Amino acid sequence: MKKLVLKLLVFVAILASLLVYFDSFFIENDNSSVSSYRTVYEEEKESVSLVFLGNSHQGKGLDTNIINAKCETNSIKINGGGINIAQIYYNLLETLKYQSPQIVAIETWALIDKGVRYNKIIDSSGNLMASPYKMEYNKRFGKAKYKEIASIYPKSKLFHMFNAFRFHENWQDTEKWSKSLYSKFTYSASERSLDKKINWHLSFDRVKKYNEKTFSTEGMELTAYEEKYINKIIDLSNSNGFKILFYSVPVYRPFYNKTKEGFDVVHKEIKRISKNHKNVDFFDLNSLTTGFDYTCMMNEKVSDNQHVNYKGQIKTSALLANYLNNNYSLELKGVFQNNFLNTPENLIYNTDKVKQEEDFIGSVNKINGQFYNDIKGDKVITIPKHIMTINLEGWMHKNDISSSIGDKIVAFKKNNNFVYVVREDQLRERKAPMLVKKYGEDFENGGYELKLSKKLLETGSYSIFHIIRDKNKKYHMKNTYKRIIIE
Amino acid sequence: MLFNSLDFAIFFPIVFVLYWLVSRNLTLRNVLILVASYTFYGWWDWRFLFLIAVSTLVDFYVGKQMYKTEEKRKRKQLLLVSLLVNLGFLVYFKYTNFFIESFVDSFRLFGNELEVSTLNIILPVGISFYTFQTLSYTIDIYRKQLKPTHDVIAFSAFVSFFPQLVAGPIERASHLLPQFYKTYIFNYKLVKSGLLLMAFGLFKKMVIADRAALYVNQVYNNVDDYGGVGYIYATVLFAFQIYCDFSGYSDIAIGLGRTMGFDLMKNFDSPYISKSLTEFWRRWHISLSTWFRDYLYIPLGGNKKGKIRTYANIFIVFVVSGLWHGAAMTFLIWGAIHGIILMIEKGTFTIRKKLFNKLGLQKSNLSNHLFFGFIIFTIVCFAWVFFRANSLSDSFQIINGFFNGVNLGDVFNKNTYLIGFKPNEFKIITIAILLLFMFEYLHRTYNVIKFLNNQATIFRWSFYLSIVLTIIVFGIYGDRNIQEFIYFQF
Repeated sequence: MKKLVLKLLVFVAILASLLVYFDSFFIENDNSSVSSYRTVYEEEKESVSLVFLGNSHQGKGLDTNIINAKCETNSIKINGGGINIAQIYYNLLETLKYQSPQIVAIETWALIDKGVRYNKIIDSSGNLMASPYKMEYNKRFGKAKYKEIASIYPKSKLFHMFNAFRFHENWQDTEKWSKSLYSKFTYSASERSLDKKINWHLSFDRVKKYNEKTFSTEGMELTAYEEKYINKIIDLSNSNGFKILFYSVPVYRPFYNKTKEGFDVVHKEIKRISKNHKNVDFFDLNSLTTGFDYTCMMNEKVSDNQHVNYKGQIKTSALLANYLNNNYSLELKGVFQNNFLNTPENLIYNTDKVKQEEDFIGSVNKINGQFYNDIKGDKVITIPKHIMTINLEGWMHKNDISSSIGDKIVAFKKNNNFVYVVREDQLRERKAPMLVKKYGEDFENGGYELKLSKKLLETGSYSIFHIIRDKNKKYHMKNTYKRIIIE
Repeated sequence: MLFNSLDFAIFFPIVFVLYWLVSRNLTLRNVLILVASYTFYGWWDWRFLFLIAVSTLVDFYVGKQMYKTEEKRKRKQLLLVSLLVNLGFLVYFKYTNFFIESFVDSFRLFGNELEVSTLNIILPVGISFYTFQTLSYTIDIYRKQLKPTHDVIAFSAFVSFFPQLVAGPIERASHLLPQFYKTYIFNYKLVKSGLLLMAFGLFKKMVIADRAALYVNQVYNNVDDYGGVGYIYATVLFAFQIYCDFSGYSDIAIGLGRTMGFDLMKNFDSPYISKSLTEFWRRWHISLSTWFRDYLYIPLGGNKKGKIRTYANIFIVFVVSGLWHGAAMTFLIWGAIHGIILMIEKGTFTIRKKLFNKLGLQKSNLSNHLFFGFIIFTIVCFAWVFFRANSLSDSFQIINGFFNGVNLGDVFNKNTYLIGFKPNEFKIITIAILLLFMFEYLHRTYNVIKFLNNQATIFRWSFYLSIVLTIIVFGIYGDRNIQEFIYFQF
């Protein structure tokens, strides 16, 4: 019998190892929430100084590339749609297994948002009310995952502990599954977590609806249940030696004005907690900015919940980075697994430190039909107030890089507080026969065109930069020395 | 407790380890089996444990008293006590409402409406199985084919033996009871083959039966929403569902017994490859078929009292078998269909034999196997309609759909073959069924387990892991709910 028991134990151990190994194959890897979480595992151990935790407001509202570039540090953000402070606590618990951050920044929307899942957290049966985005499944098999699973599904822990059990039917939707697997094997988690659908601003129709809508502040409070989990996070901060920074991503200004009373109730409590604990700090971007205007918000349905677009993300990240630089001395703890220095943002925000590459050539030809070549002196094109769209045509080429349109980036830099990086999927291919004629076949894919709503940029003067990505995913930058003025 | 539940996954290893720790002490071992069996049953509803206990004690006492006396009248009286108690429980819990409804319906036929409501009676799980098992004990003693046991613990363990308590195989006391007097030495190979059989049973249940149930339930519970092709697919899938569900249970039961050193009787033997209905019943639910043969067909006279009585006996046995399965007209008709076809088969045996000989259809070759196999499978499927349908009117609607509602355009229509299924499930169930039949076909001529045992460890372990992983990935559980075994309701 000993032989059988021993063999069975070995068998169960192999089976469990296989289930644990294949755990991440069963979750939707192309989902930005999942990916945001998995960044924890992709970074080198003990290489992160700054951890951002929150829900979708943070997910859409913060660009860690900007934070990293401006603060010269390593940061990761972990967010899941609709998660509450208890889930944020469990996310932190898991993160601390891999990282020893200096600062843990927690976005406050999870505390401000109303509803029983946020305010009460635990249901009448004593179970944790988790968000429908299933953050608990993104964690690796271990103690933190077990604790969270046990608090959400106390009666079926084993089933929920292994994704191979919980999502065993994923294979049925082969299209979805293969998309997830493709994403897992092709992109890093931080690449996957980039939300590319954020370059739209709130439409006038929705602006009108927002302005007409009334919002209730009932339930916008910091309950004892929420404070219990804040205290748990503070305990972790004491035992692990990190500081806690509560911060808020700005909401839409009319909403903020209509519900300021509710925000104040919660913020007052956070300030009280911050006063009582030397480890806790609070940076309220909502009161600082009084919310963002419609050009910084995504074109989403009218509800209490709004997300900022890329423009809002740039402004939030810059403000937060400035606050961090002014109040903390952040370390560069190690090298990012994804090479944090190798981001378009790092090149653009630190142009003075980047060496210009001679073989990276290109030009911005024209904007809204006006050629730069026709302009004498300072190469500046002005977009007047009444023009709403920027149509830009140009080309770029770097020797030995046969780049496709997906590898090209254009950036507009106003100053280090506002740099708009036009992501790969916003540029379109443009046939440039003249280039081929002049430089040869290698330049066939050099041309690009870009159509951008002017409202996504702030008013002011911008330098235009070209960025290209080579086959090793390394970015190269070139100043075009062309400028644009947004009136 | 369900075999395909987490509760059982915890229960079984504990019982298994304890069992082999005390296996040398016979009394202690049987006490452990008894406690484990009562726990297993009580997990579902402890209140009905008293039925098993009463049934056990009555038959234990009756058996002993019957053996003591040679007086025929007294022996008959004692047998009657056993029959009354056991069948009394069965009739009360299973058939009371059926009788009330039939009574009301028959009055309605004559234009009289009776205001009688049915009773709220819960059917104890497995009552039809353990009742028949314990009855075989007293009947065998009455026939002087068996000596009674004086060990109440062993007898109680025999009646309530948890591997086969709720859905068989229905064991005979002469086969199973003596096994409770033997001590077993741990046999690694036997235990391993038992575990493999359990895994195979779980595969049948979770991958095939419960997946087929998604389609079948959707069609049979919403008959008005579907047409002829949907009915055909659902009925064929039900044929596989019930086979994999029930034979899967039997495999787990036999495997479980084997891990503890017990040998339980074979209950299924690839029934869907039968070339006649007679053969089908030699291969389907063997323990019940032989029970009815020994304790009903033969006492009725079997085939010894002329042709007419033989046919009548066959018909009676199958109608009773239908009612044993469920207290409803649909089950009765299901049994009657089988009875009638068997009567025809028996009556035309000589003519058919001559005809088939002339046509060359008697030879045992693949084409004949397929030809007759297809015919028998079609007949069995036709009868399954009554077995599965929720009412008689549903059954007739489905059968009408077979003949009048088939739209050939639906055969390859996604909306038809994916009813109740998520994308790709139809492919998976088709592949799984084909694999199952390939395995069963191979296993009839070649011992697959022996073949496996002769392979290198890495190959064997990969195979075992593949089975478990297949069940984990392709099994139906979790959100889509664990399905009870169909035969639990009987």
